[in-house]
Amino acid sequence: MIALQNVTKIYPASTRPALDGVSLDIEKGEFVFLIGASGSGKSSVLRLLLREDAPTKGSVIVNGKDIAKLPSRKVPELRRGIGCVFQDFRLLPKKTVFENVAFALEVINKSQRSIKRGVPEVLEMVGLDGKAHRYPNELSGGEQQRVAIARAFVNRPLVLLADEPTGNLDPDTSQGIMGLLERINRKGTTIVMATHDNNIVDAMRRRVIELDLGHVVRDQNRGVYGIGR
Amino acid sequence: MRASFLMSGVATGLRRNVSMTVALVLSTAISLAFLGGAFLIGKEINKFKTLYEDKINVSIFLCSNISVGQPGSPCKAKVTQAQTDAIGAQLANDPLVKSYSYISEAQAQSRGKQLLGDKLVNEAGAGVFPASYTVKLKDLKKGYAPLAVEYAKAAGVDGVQNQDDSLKTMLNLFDSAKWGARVVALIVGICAIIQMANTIQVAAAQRRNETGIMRLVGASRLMTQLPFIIEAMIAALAGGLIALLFDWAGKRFILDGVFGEQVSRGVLPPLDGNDIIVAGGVGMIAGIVLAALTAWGTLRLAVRL
Repeated sequence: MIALQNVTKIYPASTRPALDGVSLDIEKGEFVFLIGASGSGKSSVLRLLLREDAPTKGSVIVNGKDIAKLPSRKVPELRRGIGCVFQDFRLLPKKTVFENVAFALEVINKSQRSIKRGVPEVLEMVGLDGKAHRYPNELSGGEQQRVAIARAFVNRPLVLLADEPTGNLDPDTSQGIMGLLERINRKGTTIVMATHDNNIVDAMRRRVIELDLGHVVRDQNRGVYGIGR
Repeated sequence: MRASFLMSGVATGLRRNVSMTVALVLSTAISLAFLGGAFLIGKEINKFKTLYEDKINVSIFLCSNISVGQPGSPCKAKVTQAQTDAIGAQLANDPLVKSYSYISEAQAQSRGKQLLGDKLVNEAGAGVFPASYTVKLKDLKKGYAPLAVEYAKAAGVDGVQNQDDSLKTMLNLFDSAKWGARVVALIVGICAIIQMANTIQVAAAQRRNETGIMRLVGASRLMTQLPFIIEAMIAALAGGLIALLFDWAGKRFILDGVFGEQVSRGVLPPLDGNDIIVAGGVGMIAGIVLAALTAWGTLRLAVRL
């Protein structure tokens, strides 16, 4: 589903590569944690998968296509198959919960009928039925992240990328969010999640890929966060 | 992207920056009004030229007793009847000439008396008002120069004169006004473009979160740019409509007001509603196209949206 083949990414202002010859394979339906210290290259991997950046060297394969060579005009099509969740939720404050989720469908020209059917369905799945007409500032952090997940999943993407989705949440709320991501993963969506949250990684016991200074230093099935981190 | 979704984004964008939108609309309106003004003055000049060109004649003055020996005059003797007839025959066959008439020395003298009085003309003596041919050309602009050269060489001709010269001052005045309006339109237009580019940059910065999410969920570059481009086009459309009012007011209060008497006496040609609509319409279309290009260029080059 996802493959990085000898990928190097050098940012112009940086003194060392953000990623240095990274290779990894992620199968369809896997749930993978990307861990590592700040600056280890986790976010760079996610940016490459979203084609927000292109690699300096190497190939980035998503769903059988080398997206490093993807022309700019094809990038929107790629992103329609990838959902994204961030630590800071990135919701539109002047839109309701319903409108925030519908926004993802509106911009890709989905019909009103499919929006009216799909949005309540996904809101129910993330546990926000009955809150469709609330604004983000009327919701808790956990609820806001649920809205963000609903928006990322409403288009039923093949891959969901999550960059520290529990970074702003308390442990109980984080567990709820992880439960939700697990449910999405069970529906067949591949999940790649960058995190610093050792409790979550240890509790979930999923594949762990650890990065350090742009290198993969550990790739372990049913891994844990690691002692002393 | 559905039109209703797009337009709701556009409306939100315009509302969010009301003061800047108003400033943008007004500066576009002023720029387009000057552009329309320049167009209307040009139109007035053309009408004026057409009106007067029809009335302008070329005079071929024939040698009289007085012109013989005058400095600058080619006359060696008073024109003979044969020379007069030859010039008449040449005019009759000249493809540049629409019509011509002959004014004898006696007829010229009598016209002079009508204009200046008997005493003055009698004192000046015979030959002050020479015989002449009055020629109407098919195309005054193209025909005058070759006609003047050709007939100035003919035997018995003292000189060729174009009555157009006296109108040149007025046309020059109009021309200056037209160029003045064009220069002002250009300067204000540049200001409007800069302001439009700034407004779009501010709007794009304000909505970076929204456009970022749009790109993230798979909106194309054009989809994210389109609301800003449409906003600029709507501002230009509103500016164009106001400019149309300015142009109409210019006609109503300047041409029909200040110069109303000259227009009603037929000295100045009138401008009609169609002229205003064409001037305003052309300006509006130019403004809308320019606004779209400015917005697109700003988003691509300055904002990198």
